[in-house]
Amino acid sequence: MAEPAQQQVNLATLSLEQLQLVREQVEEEIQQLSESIQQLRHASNKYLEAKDAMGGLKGTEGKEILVPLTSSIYISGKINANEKVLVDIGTGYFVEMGIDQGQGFSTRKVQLIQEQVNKVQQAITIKRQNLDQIMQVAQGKLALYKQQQAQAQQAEK
Amino acid sequence: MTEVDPYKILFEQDIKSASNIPSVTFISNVDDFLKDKVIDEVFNRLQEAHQKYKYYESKLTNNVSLLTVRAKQLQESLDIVERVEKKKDDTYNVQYELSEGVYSSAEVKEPKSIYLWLGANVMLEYSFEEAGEVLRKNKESVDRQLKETIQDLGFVKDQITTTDVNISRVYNYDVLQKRKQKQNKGREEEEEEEK
Repeated sequence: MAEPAQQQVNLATLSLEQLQLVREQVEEEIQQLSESIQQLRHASNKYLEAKDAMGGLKGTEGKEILVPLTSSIYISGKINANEKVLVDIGTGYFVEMGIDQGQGFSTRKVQLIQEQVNKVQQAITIKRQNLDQIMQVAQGKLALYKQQQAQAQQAEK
Repeated sequence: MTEVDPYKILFEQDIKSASNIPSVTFISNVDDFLKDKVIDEVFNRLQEAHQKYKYYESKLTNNVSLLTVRAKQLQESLDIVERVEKKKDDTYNVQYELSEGVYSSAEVKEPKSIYLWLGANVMLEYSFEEAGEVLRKNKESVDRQLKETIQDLGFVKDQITTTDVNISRVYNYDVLQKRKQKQNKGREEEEEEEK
């Protein structure tokens, strides 16, 4: 983990303005990572909903429903599930599988996303630590600068 | 049905505004126009008008894209209703979206009516002819709104150009005036020194 150590050395040699720039950069990165987490959570919710919907299909063979043809047109029909569903597995492929398999698929997707979320969360923690370091160095420099100014003023008197 | 391209109106002269957007007059003689006005005030007014027109322009452009999308959706719905009507004596299977990424099968048997979602938690059952009527009426209304919005957009763009030209002419006139004043002042001071 040479990165934080490297940055420590660099931080000490940067001026206040440069520290400000680096700080803004890190803050922006944190912002982007947070957005990624949100998107991942959103996708995860979709798969959970799909899983619940499939569960609701169980044991409904022959029931009458309003079948959506588009988001605003519906037509009366009977459920013909045979307990099988068409699942979108990505890149334009759909697979016909039983409801249990479909639910298994959704669960695995949710797990996958959760792992990604954890990774991103770790990255965010590291970035926050970097940010703290930058703030500390910046404050140290500011205190030093003020001290120097006070000394200079005293020397003039 | 002859479809007139609603965008043609943008290439005509003298577009009138379909709704009540104020028009701006072209300043033909800057000198006369400025005789009884303070130039800074004139400038501010013109800039204000310019900003207002720009705001109109963005709003109208937004509306045009919204309406175009809606018109397309209505046309698709109309096509679907017609297709279902053709198959009204059949029994067939439909794969419908159960949830995002999940589709399930259902059997449709000799449908006599379809249901239209009208928004605001209202859904009505219609016969095929009635459904076609409702969708056609909605589409006509959207088409008309689109035409009017495009017309307004053309009008506003004209006004923006006119206002731009006015602003630059007033500004140039002002610059010219100031330069003349400086020259005159310079000449006066020279004459004073010679005395």
